[in-house]
Amino acid sequence: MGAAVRVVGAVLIVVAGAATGDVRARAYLRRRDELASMLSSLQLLETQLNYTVAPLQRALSVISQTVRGPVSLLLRSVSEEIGGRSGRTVSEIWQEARRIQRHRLALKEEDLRILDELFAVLGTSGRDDQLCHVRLCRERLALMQRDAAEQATTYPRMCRYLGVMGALVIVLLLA
Amino acid sequence: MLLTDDLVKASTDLDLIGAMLPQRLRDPLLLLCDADKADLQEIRLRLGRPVILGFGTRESFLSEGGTSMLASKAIIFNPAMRDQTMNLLTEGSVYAFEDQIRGGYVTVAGGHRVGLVGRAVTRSGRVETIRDISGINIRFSRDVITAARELIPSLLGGDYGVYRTLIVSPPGCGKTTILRDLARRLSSGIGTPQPFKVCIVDERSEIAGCWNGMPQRDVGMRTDVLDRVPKAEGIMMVIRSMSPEVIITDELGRDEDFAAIAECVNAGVSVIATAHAGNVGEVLSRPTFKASALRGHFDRYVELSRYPKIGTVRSISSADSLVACSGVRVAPSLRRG
Repeated sequence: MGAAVRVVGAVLIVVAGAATGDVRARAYLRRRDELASMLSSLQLLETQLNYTVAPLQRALSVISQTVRGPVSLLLRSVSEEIGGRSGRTVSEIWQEARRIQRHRLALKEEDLRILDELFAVLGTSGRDDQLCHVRLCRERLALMQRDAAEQATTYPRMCRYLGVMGALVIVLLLA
Repeated sequence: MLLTDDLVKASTDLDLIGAMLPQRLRDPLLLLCDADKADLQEIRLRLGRPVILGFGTRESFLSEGGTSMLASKAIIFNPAMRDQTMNLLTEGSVYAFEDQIRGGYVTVAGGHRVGLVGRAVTRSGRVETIRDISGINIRFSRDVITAARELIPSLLGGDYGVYRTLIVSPPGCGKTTILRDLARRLSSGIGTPQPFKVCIVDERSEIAGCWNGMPQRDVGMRTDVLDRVPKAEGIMMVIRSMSPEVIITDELGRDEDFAAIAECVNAGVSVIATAHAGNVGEVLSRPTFKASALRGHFDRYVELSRYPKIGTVRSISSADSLVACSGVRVAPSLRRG
């Protein structure tokens, strides 16, 4: 009876360790994908600003329908809030949406800070100026995305190994 | 005594504009009494100076508790408020309003017009944009459905059913409001023997207050609106494409505007237009208007005043009598109407 309990406990520890490792691994992959989505969104935003000169609410609404995942949700909530005429500025709306959607996002704080800087000025100046801001943001995020892509090729496997191995070490120590 | 519909509309307009202002300005505005809400015509925001509310012929300062006659209690419009106001007015999309800002105004939801002044950035002598906005004038655009009721019988007649008319007054006397009501009445056949096909050439989105392509004001059921197009070009476009019986446009002034009016005259289309001037005499002292009068472009000249109330018709003159009084002789062959 006692041995059976110990075996079950060991299995649970290994499963928990593997799950923890997997969660960490997925975070790396999701960050890479979210950064790629955000880069596509910024590319689309640039097109919207440059050619259709669509107001931000409409531009973000169109973009949110094009990209997927948490980035889509984030941009859609910003778009809806701008259209809701709440009397808040785009920067305030972004900060609120970012706070609400934070738990869904795998983006790191440093990624979001780059977007904070963009949304602080988004829509506040003429088209040429806006395009400069969007391009600058895109270049900075592209650096982040390269870094995230490298991490996504090596770290997830390591996380999964570490999760399982760590759990096994705990099991051995407890045995 | 305020009509309920008027009050509801005034409150809706104020809510709409309120949502475009920072909270510090929005909250006191919503404290205005019903009479003030209905009378409010403009909100003047000048950087570093008190916020002023214009109620037709009277003014008041905006204070934390609503309105005040004391400048010391007024809310001072600061740069942070300015930035926030511009962001909200343009729905966070200043770039999408660049063309309008270049022209010194923005038309916002509800067809209300916001005038802007600041530091103009020029290139090759042309205004490219306005930066460092220092003054914002929010003008409420409202339908006054009785504005042209008294005037319209005097404008019916002539070869084409409606006299070609120039409405003259200083700014803020109700020219645009009267134009809007004239369009509504003529195109819906209200107070006229038959309805007319009306085209509004609305260079600054002021008459029909178009927003996202939709007229925000009631301009009548047979009225087509050509929005944000230079007047002269717009007049030619609607003559060619929309077979109008009456063309309505605002604020004549440039040489090409008069060339387009001449085209209307030759195309058998009536035109009703406005011009800024203290009175008809002042208008006729300007070379372009004088030349236009000599060519018999207009049959009627209407003078408006803001006293005793905005939109008061001070005089209606026929071209013949006016031209005779001003000592200008018109060749009989050029007289029309």
